[in-house]
Amino acid sequence: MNRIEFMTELAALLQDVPAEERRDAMKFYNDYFDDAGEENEQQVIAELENPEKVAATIKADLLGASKEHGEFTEKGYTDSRFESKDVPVGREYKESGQKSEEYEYRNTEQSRREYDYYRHGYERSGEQTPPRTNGALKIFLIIMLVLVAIPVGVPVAAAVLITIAAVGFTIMVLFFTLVIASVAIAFAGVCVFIAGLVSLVPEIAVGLALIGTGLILTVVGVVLTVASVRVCIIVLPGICRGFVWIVSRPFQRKAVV
Amino acid sequence: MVFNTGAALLDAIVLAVVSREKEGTYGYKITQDVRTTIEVSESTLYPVLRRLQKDECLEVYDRQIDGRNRRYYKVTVRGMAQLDLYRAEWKSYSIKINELFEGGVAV
Repeated sequence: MNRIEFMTELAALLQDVPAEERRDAMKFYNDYFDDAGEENEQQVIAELENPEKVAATIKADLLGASKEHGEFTEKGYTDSRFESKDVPVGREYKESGQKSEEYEYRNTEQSRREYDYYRHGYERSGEQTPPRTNGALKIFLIIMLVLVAIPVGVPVAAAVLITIAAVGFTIMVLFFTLVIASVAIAFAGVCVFIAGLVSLVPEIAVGLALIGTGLILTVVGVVLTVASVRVCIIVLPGICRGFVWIVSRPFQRKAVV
Repeated sequence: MVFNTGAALLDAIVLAVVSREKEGTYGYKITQDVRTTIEVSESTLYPVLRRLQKDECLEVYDRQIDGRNRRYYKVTVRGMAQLDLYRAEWKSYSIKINELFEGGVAV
């Protein structure tokens, strides 16, 4: 048994005493090993016998029972309760009716970390903290993310797509409307021209005015029609391409990553 | 040594050892000092120190040594009073025992 094993086991055995007591005892024995020096490590462990005895002595004192049970002799502290040294303390406690589960199912990893904390103290404890993430945790988080993302993400994506489609469609319709309006103006011009011809017989002035207006309207209508058709030819494919680009963007990005 | 060291005597010895250092002293040194006088196992001293600390006979503080904090124990005023009591008690006790053993004076 080395120092680290000893202290780890001691921390585990002291899991059921108040944190303050545990901290104090761990501090004491950690200092003790530090001050004894590495060369005396085995000697100290031999003197302390085993973590069970150290822990039991601490607990006995916490119960205020040491004066009644323990005795200091020339061989050191003897206590009839600890005489059967081959029996693990855990079992001994079970026999005396105390909770033993905490000993048997103690979390050794936690004790070790706790011991590291005592060993390196406040100023160095930050560096000693192991990275908290691991593979299993990452996979779990990804699964959780997917599970959460499906109910929320799918409707949001659908809404975004529909909005983009609606905007694109509206712009297309607007341009078609321009074309239709231009055609309507040209058609109105033709109608007015015909009306002018018809009214030329009863009233020449009105007829001529109508014919002139009709001609102007027709020309304006034709010019606007040609212009709006040209604009549509330029703009509509652009809108279509833009729409396709926006929709395909997330997939492209994913492909790049 | 054939005589047992009782809890009160051990308290007195620990208080006496710690009181020798004005600035206080630390666990390992206390244990070694006590062990030069009486034989006690190393696991014995911690509960004694802790109990004396709780009884406010000792106070603790941490001091930076070699890049780490070492815990120091120091006797309080209350601890000194307790030590004086132990000293007086021990004096009368040991005198009586000495008289009995050496003087052969009838009690």
